[in-house]
Amino acid sequence: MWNMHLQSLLHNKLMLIVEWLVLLVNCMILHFAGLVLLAEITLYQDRMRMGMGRPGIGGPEEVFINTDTMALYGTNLIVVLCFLTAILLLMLCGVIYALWVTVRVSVQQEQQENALLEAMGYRRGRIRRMLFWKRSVLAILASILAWGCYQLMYREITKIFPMNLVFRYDSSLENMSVWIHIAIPIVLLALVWFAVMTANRRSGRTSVVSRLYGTYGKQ
Amino acid sequence: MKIELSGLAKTYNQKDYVLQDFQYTFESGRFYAIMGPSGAGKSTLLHILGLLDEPSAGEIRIDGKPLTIQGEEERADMRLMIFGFVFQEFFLNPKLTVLENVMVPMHIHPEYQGRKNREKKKERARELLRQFQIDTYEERYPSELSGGEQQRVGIARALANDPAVILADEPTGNLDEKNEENIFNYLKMLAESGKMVIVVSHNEAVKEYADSVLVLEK
Repeated sequence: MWNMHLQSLLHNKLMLIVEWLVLLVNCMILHFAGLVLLAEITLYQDRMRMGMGRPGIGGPEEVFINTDTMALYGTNLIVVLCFLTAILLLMLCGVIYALWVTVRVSVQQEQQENALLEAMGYRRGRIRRMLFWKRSVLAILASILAWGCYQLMYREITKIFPMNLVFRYDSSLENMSVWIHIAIPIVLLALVWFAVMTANRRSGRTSVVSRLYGTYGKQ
Repeated sequence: MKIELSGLAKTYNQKDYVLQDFQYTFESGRFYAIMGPSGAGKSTLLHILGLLDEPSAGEIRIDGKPLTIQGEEERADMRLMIFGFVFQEFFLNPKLTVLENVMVPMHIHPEYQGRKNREKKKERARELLRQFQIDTYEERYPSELSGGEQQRVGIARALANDPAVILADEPTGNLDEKNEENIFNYLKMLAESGKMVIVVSHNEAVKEYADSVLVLEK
């Protein structure tokens, strides 16, 4: 029976792992975009504090980013900030929607599979245990892969936007950031895992027949 | 085996009854066809018989003993030992081969537990596939089979644990005429071998194969 479920995991849930990775990559980009936004706000505040008025060419940003990018940011910081905020919001909506679709589709498919197993005589408790192990293996695999992608991305992005500017006024942020980088993928996956497990537990209260034939009933 | 239904009723909203005061006795070795218009309660009756659903009222007796089930786990155990289901949509697992699909109900049957019974499980599954002339397809996936072949796999899976009762809900609903004949022939063969076969069908052709025809009215 475990072979059967492992095969099921590999054949079908590979797509689910890919979807989760896409979700995670989106979340990472979201996170980094947030850090960049924070860096930009800090730069702006820095400039104000030093009495430099509206952002222009020259000043502390020479050590922050290269000349071409400096010219771009120098022209209108407010526009850039609005642009980044819009991207953040769009990505947040995209991530939430993708998460909802993935969890819902996954739960519906599994509800029908589990209802079929119940019809064949599998006890609900046994099905839930099998689901628990399946979800756990998925979560661990996805966490490991996500952690690797996350580290690669972080290294590339910090070449362009050094984080020391953000941490200049508050060095405790640097320590906290390390833990946030570790925690984000794990917390996200734990939330997805918990949401799916909860959804499946809730579905256990509906009848086998309604789960077997789904929303639209018998064809 | 004998299954007696008396005073059976089913309602979903306390007002409209899908089944009302239904009584009948089903016996082994016979092929029963349940027919009637849509909404007459045919599938509901089948689901109640197979313990997939609970009646709102009435009594079910198996071999004279009233069926008193304490919970969902007990229902599942009874379904495992007594009933085999055949569905219109086949409901084969697309990620498993034909042989693995037939073996699914065996994984939890007491007779096939443990590593030493692995070969016994496979041999039983192969025997069933041979019986339905699809043994050459054991390594194929359901998507590689025709509708008729998939339904034969579905019937083989329903027989995996040698249940006393076969419940088929529109087993030929998605099949052409030729495959319909084949499936009804197989089900007739099972009834003649001593099983209780109960089929819900809109198909008038089932009357040629059934020993008894129940017509439900709305």
